Amino acid sequence: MIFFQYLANGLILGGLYACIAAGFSLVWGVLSIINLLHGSFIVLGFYIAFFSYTVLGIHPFLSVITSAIVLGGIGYFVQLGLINRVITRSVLVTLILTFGLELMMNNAMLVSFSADYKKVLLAHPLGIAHLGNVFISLDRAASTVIAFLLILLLWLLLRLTSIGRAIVAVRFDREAAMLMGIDVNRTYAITFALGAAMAGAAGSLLSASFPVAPLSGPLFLSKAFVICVLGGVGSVPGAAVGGLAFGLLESFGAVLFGSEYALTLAFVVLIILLLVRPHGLLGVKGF
Amino acid sequence: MTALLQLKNVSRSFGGVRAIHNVSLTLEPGQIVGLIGPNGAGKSTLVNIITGVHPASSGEILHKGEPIQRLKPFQISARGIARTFQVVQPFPAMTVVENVMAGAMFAAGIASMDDARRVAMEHLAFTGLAAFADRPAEQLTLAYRKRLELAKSLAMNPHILLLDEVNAGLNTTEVEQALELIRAIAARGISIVIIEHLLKVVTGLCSRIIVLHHGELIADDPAADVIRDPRVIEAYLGSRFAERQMVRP
Amino acid sequence: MTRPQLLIFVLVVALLLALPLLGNNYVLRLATITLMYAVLTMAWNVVGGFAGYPLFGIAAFFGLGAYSGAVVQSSGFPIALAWIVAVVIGTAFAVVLGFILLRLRGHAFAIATLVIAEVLRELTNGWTSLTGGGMGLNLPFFGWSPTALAVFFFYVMLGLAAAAFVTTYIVAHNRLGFALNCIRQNEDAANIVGIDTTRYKIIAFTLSGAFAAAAGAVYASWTGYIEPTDVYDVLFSIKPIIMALLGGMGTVFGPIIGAVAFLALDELVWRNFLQLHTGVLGFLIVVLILFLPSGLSAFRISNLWRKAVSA
Repeated sequence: MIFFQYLANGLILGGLYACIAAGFSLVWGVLSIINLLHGSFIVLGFYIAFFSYTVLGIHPFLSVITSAIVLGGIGYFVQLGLINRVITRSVLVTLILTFGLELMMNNAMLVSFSADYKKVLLAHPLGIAHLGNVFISLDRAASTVIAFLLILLLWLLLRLTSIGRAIVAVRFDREAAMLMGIDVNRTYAITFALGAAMAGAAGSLLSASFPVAPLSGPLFLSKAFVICVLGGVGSVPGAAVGGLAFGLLESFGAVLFGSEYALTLAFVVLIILLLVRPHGLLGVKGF
Repeated sequence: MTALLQLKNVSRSFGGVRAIHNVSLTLEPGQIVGLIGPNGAGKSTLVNIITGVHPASSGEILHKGEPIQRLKPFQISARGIARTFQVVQPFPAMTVVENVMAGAMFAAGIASMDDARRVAMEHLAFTGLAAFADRPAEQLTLAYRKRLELAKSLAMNPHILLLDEVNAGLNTTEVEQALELIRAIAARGISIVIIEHLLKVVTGLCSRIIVLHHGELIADDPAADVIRDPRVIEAYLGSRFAERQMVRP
Repeated sequence: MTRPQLLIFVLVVALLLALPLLGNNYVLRLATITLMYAVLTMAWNVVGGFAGYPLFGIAAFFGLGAYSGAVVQSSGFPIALAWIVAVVIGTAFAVVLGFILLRLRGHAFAIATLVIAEVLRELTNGWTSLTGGGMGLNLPFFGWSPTALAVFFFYVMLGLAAAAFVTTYIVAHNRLGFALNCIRQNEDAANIVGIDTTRYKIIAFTLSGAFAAAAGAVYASWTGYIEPTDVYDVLFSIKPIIMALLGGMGTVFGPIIGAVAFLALDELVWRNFLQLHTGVLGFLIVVLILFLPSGLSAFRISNLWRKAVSA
């Protein structure tokens, strides 16, 4: 049945979306800032994978590692050097700052890479599998699996490592964490770095599946936002669930309304959620 | 004659926690009632429910016979029920007089800003804050901020005033001054419910005391009787403590 | 206002009214754009400055106004009607949206408004039969000379800016402004003190939407051709915020000062960086945020001006 095709498409999309949103959600939950650079981080991750493949022949899945490291580093220093100076100020100020940075980054990428949409064309794709009447692109499926593995890694990191627990502590109670001797500034920087790393990894993961251009940044950002709201801000498992839900929504929505209305559909769902649970959904940061 | 304020079987749960359970009480005009209980007993929650900040999970609240449990805070304020906060809530960047004008303009419904200012200055004079009228509210010390809360509440033209720990953080002299002010307010005919920890304040001021414990009402009697009530003593620290705190008339 | 203040004000207005006499279309055009941004910034200021709700999507109303006006005008109706329809639609949308979005605060509100603008852009892009979609919409115009057009739109925008200014002034000095001020500083206390915060927030939001839509409608008629990526550009949402920050948020004159300052900088500095235009703008934003937190008032210029003209 064609239903299963859309279901498969949706789940595969969902994994990638989950990866896109997880880092964003973490940063929002812990630092209480909405990182407008997130979309551009994803795009940069894409370009790293793209050029690694076209110039050096490195498979995008391996670029996940380089992207994560590069973006993580960028994120760390951006947070420590710039964002940290205004982190205690109003929502407006932090948003405008990340917006200004985003303008700079976007412009730089536009000038460096041109505005064209690009996509990695694998010389040896994994091919397409047939499960009954359902066609699954194995490359995309592999991307999704890796995406979920990354999210699992992130979740384990938060649960099991000391830095992870420091992050969680700061998220729940900044003052108490400081009193316990946790270096909040460093924790913020690491969290932001993790968020950026996840974004870069996501960008690399989708390089072989979807065409991307500097213009795609804001779209990724908007979707990440909606996913966070769906799944619960600051929650990594929430991002996973939200991502899946969003992927399914987009897949089935494309059928019903046409794929150009993806964001509109998501937003309508968002509005409905807001009306039904106005305080609960966005007021509470779940874990 | 209908009671001024009547609570019937009011309950409120947060998630699984029963903050207030089955509380019923009646407030008549011209009373000063003390509301006491150990920490976490639900005193502030009860005030929040009466003023509409939290909705009651069940039960009714009647104001002059009219049910108000579904109304929003601003609607309840307009009906003449005002409250102060334990942690004062001023408008920090506005001046002292502007803070009080807010109460006059909105809850009390004064249309003209000039009239509101005049009324606000009267309330400031009453609470001894006239000298600070044009200072930013955030510059006031704690004791004066508490008075500002009172002035703001009075500007709302209430006939019921709920005072939530108005003496918290004040030294002995400041407490005395606050009590004087409260007596003066009561003398104007405003019914007062005062949440307090200091038994001496409550027994000196209130004709009647209500005791909450774990969200339930365990006593509602004239002051002298409440102190001797074994359940109340149990809820607090013991009979010797209670006796030491009681004011000899 | 006092005598000297009134005098300055009259002088400025007189100068503006006489600007077309210079005979320089380029200057007129620059002035018209400045006035348009002044309107947008003043519109933003009611919600973002007075009420303290970080509105990041005023482009939604701007674009909606632009398209509403453009569609009506290109259907053959008179231009004035087109503008009125645009304002009505913008106002209605603001009321509905306000009900939904003003429950949110802080970040959530900011991003939600940002996304609304994007959604409207998507919808406009898709509704090709009505809006021409990605191909844009051409507006017919009566064959006037370029100079006559320039003068006409200058005066229209000046009128709109004057209306926005008068509205801002009135709001700032009456109950609405007072209530918004309370809401900004402590919304919970505002509720307790008897302010119907929902109602006042929606009124503010509606004023914002109405003026932004009007600006959009005039813009559309003026440029003669619009497309979704143009009028729903996120920069139309962000620049007013920067201008408000520059001039002083939540003040009466701040938006105007900020708009003038920003566009002066735009003209003198980063307009010259063709390819890196947005990058340099971004850089200047970052510098502004990090080093000039209270905007131009740090330079005291804005303060002096404000002292000179504040009532």
